[in-house]
Amino acid sequence: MKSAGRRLRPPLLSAAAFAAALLAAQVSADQAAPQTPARPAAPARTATPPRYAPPRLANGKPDLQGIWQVRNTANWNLQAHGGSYKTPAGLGVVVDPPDGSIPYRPEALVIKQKNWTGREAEDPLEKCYLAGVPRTMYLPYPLQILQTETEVAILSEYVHTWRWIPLTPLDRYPGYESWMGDPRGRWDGDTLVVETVGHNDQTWFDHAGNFHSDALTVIERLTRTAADVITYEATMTDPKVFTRPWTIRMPLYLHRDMDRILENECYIYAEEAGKPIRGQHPNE
Amino acid sequence: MNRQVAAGLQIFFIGRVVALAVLVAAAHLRAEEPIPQPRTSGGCPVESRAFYECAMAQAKTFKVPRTAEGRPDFQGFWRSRNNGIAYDVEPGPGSFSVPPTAGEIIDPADKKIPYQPWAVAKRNELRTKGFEDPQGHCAPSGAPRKNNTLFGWRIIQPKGYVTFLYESMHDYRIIPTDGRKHLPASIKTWHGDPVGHWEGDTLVVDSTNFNGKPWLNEAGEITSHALHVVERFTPVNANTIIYRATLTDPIVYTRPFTVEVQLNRDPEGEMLEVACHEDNQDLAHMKDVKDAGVGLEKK
Amino acid sequence: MIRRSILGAGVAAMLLAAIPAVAHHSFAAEFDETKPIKLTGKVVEMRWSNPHAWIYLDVNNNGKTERWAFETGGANNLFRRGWRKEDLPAGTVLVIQGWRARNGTNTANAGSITFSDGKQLFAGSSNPNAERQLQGK
Repeated sequence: MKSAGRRLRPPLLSAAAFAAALLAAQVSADQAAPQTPARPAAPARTATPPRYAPPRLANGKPDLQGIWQVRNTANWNLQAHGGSYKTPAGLGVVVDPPDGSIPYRPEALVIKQKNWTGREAEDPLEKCYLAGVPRTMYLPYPLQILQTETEVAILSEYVHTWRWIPLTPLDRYPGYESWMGDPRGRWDGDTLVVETVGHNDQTWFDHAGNFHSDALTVIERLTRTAADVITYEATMTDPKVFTRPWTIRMPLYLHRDMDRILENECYIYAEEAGKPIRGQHPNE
Repeated sequence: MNRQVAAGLQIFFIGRVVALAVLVAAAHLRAEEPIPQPRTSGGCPVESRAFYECAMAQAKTFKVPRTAEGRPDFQGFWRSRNNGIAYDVEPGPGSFSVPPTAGEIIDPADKKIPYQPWAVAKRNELRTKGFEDPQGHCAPSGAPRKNNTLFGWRIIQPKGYVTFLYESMHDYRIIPTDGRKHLPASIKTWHGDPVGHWEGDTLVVDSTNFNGKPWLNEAGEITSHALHVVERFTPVNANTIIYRATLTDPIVYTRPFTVEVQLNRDPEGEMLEVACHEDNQDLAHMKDVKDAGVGLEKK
Repeated sequence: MIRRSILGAGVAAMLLAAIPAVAHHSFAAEFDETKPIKLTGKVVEMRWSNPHAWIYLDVNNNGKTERWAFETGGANNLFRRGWRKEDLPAGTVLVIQGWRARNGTNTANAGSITFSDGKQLFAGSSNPNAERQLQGK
């Protein structure tokens, strides 16, 4: 938005003239400063804090192993939300688009709103179904990361779910779909990049009804940015549902209070509590 | 019309002859299978007892591939060798849908689970109640049933762990190899709490903290919360592990007993997802049968 | 590692009995081996799931169309053997031999599945125990 009466851009100058003008300004500034006696140089101030140096495996790759868990409420709603019945308030985790919106196609937004209305019954997690990717990474349950030089396993306490991420080339079966998707990993510097395709269309991103189709691709980036923190990012691309890719980011925190993850058998507990949940039965 | 079904996987001989119940109409579909051409696994004959002796001899000179930690490298995709044991730990002649099997018990010598009398009665009752098998409800199976699964599993060995990623029900067992203490007794689980350590080249896994709900197999083989399982994984050649599990449960059994299974690594095998609960359409059918009070005879 | 491609179908001549799709639970608790069934119908849909896949057929029963559900082995083993979703389009005519569900619904466990020309569906492996492995054993 233009302010009245002011040009937004600097006067047009050729690049060379502009550089010359800058240099002239710098030189005259130096000349204007009084000469001072030499004194010991102040300690160099780094522009950013020194990067954290993670522990490493023998092959030099960062060691991401440990028991981790988010502390946010992304599982309930990826976007900023106030508290409501059985739902804690939370700041959003969508970092792109910068305004925190999720870029639905208009017809997909209608479905999202329908999901929202019916979420107490329709959220797959209410049926103890698998959480899918990326939701498995920000469930309110610990997950354990184990890794070797050729593979990474991310094991969620929620219904004993593994993600097996090979770091070496492995073909995919065309048309193969699954709840947790088909991941492939590689290192990009000190960041583990995981590309997952082959999602079915059954999972939600959160309890608020944010959803996807089977055309979803998720690219995750895991970087250990402190001893107790993995900075986790996930970019979702799904041309059937969204107008453009969008990205979430959040910290995963190390559990120093657990030496092993425990068991959560959601649907078995439901059955034992007298509220059995049945799997899908489309023929009936 | 008689048909013959190739029997490549029927490698175990029946331990004893048991009279078969007559199967109406479908009997012709399960005619006796021809003895296959002998096959070998790692240079040993595949028949159970002959294999075991051969493999143990091989194990003395076998140089097992090792991880960077110097431990046997178990990594890769594995399957359990004998399919019949997915249904019954004891030997059996098979039935319509269950292959005959020599079972997996090696001790006691009579190959029967040493049940207390009340437990035998319970087991016999549950044999006819397929709906009651927790695995049909997609409950995790614990040890040793998880290693008798119809699907395979992947082993990865990060430093300090041996981790099993099972295809069936996307299940896993994370086994630390530092011999740490078990969970407090108040935590009871389906999987048990596995803690491992190495004895030479054998991985020993000690599991307690069971909740008493899993069955050992489809045949109503109950356990209790007092179950204590000690498993031993011994590599005998490049792609074979001899697996033994000793089960102790003073509430259910009169003495400990030991089962043994051959596990084979498939260098080309890989793991896919089995969701189980999400697609468990069978349970509703089985419940109808249960609710109708229709008993069914299992052989 | 390259995944195995579809194995040669040349062993179609192999004699295959109808073998039940067995599972991680009791076959007998759900299906009745004394009630074999053989139906011809058109594929409505196939659900590529695990531990079992399901084929839904529309079957003509004396002029009425009945919807039947047939349980097969799990989708994973079908993928491993080279089968793909597009191999079974809607409208395909199939003959399925199997065993009825005990609960009396139009549900059965599929033993053998053939196209109308007699070619076996999901078969064609040189492994004599392909069928058992197909069903996840």
